[in-house]
Amino acid sequence: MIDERIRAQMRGFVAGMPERYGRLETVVERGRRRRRLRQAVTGLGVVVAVGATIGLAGLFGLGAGPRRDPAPVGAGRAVRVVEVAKGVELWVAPQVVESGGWRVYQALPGPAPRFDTDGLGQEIPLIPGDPWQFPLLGRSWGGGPGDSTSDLVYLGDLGEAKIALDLSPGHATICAFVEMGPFDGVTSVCSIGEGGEPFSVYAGAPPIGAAVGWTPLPEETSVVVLRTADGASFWQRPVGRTVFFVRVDGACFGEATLTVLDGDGNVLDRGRVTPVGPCRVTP
Amino acid sequence: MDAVAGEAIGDVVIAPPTFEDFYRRSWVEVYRPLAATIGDPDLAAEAVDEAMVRAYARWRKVREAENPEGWIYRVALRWAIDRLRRRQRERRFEIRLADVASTREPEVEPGLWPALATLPVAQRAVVVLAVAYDWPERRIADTLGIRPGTVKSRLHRGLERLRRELGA
Repeated sequence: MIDERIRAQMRGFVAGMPERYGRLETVVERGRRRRRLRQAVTGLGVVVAVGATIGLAGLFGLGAGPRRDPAPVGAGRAVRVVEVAKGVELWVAPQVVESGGWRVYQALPGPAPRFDTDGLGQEIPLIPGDPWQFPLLGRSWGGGPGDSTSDLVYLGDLGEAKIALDLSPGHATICAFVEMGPFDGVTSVCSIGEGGEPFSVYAGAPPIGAAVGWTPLPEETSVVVLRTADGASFWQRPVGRTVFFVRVDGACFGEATLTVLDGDGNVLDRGRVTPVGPCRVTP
Repeated sequence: MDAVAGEAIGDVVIAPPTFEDFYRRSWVEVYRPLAATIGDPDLAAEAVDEAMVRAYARWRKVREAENPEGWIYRVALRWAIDRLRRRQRERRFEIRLADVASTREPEVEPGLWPALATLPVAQRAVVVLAVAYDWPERRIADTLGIRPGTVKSRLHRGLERLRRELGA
């Protein structure tokens, strides 16, 4: 029998307990890192057990790194708009980094998925980049920035590959920079994102091989799923209304389908890409 | 538009509960009794977040568990107890070193807490859930992962001790 005096005291006690509130975004971010770590440990176990296995992450040249998400679009943060090509606008962070003839904007990720992404396959994270870390800063490249300032939107990192969109004036189409490691690993691919369709390009600067992506995506895009003809499935959250899947083993993608999902998992669009470029035949 | 539930793109299926929904629904439900049990709201909030991080990392398994809130509560409670023990060890070390007591009073109602704090945590958890929140025996058993008989005995002993401490 619980006596009423104790019950009243207990209720007063819990009623006086200060409220605290959870931080969902932080928890999801930490959980995502923890899940990657668990997958990496599990993957390592499989490699040890089976012997030599080429991991898909290796195929994509990915390294696990913490996602440094700036606030997503619509999160109440001040943003500015830049034009990537005629009539194609992107939301970017308000701060801009200028150095050596380059002006680098930081792209923002799309809205976080509110559905379970477990069944979508392997995440190939495009990790939003810090403009100060963009490797072209302070250096000239090819035609260089020349006398005028060249503008870039730094989308982020795909493992070692750094992806940016070119905002140089006069561009009628979207061009992307891809850099792998050393400076002369920089290449650019243009004529992507024509008519808002998915693209398939061959970067032609080994070890960077083919790239498949989609830009500009609808602003409410949360996830894009890439499925290759062999049944493998990968997904990515867009940054700067763009997803970019890059192969760094010199090979190309086969036929692939892309599915664009909003934050609730609704399909916004679908597209198909076919391989292009002189794809190297892997032994 | 089609709905996607993770497994099959393009199929119209009922979406399973998302982690975000679960988090919003369960966080406060777990936090409140946990804070009352350990007497430290900040530590309780940290513990629930830590349990939620672990749940996110293995969400498919957790969401299929019989009682995901219970899973969160147990993980958070164990984590908080570990932290409290570590804090006590550090405190003892500090006292030996500097002869200064580094004590932190719980940020809770002062009258009841000293009495409640004399109960072992396992008893205290049952007493808080049963007396302050009126949870039925079965729900407490499921949440704490113990048998209903154990709930009954812990509640009985806990109340006995509480009466003595309060001079009731």
